[in-house]
Amino acid sequence: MIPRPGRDGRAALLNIVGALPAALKESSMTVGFEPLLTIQIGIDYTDKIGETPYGWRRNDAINGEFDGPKLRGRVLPGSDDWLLVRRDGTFNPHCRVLLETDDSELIIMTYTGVRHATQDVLDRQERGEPTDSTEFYHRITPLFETASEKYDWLNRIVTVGRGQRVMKDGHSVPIYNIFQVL
Amino acid sequence: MSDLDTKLLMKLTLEDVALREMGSTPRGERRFATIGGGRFEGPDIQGAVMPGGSDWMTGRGNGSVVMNGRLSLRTDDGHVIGMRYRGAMDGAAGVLARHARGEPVDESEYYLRFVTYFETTLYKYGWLNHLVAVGVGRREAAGPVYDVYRVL
Repeated sequence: MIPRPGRDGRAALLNIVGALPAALKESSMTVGFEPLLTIQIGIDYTDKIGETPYGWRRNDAINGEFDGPKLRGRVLPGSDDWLLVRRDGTFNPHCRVLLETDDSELIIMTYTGVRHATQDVLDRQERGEPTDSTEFYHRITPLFETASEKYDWLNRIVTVGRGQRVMKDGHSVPIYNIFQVL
Repeated sequence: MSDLDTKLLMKLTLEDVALREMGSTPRGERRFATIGGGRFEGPDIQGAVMPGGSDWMTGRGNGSVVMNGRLSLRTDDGHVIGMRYRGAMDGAAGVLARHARGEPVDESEYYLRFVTYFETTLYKYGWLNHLVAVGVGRREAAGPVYDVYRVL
């Protein structure tokens, strides 16, 4: 088994790579992932904005809770998603979320991403019907910003999330598993 | 939580990179890199990095740098692709200073990762429009080399 490249595992990986021929060393850069948090999103209300020059827009006021090995808490009111349905049918979230940790620190999480599927699957999601994660591609790239010393490390990392859909209050809403890129 | 899977999209080699120090602005220590060219090679896509790309970097003064780049790529079969990336470099302050001066720094000494999105027409490479990708980078003598992976 190849060790995961990360700040901790990197030395071990380099030892293995060091034994390889130079041509293979060139391909040595790999990425690994470490679970950061899972966030479940709910929708308080939706403002349908409609067709704009960029596509079809709506604004979802969102709520939620998040939980991970190093932080957990809730989504504060005022968080929203200026969702864009592009002209090719792909959904682009544009979320600005304010997180409050259970130890009362504030963290901004902004993300965009891609939700892509056949039109039939996207239509079912829009109607609030269940869909399986194998039927669509939903990935996001959250950025974190905080003034908290405790969570300053979040300012310095790159993250990627994978979305699944669950039914909640009659809406088909996402749960994101967000990973730190190692 | 099961891991994400990735697959190599391209190995991106940037050339003719010129650094311009702007200094301290309200956003931080600003450094602009202009990118004169390069190549990208992957299993499904190959081509040239067109002149005119840039990376507007912001140093936060605590050993971390935010990357914010835009490149235009032209595939060997003539399609133009826009690439935007945003990421982070993080290492001890002395390491990043050496990196900024273009001195050799081993990639184990710092963290350089980014996320990237592509934009192109709906023809041959339309699949890039709905892809999320992550990159990992290192600096070589001729310029940065980034391995970019599809997030599956």
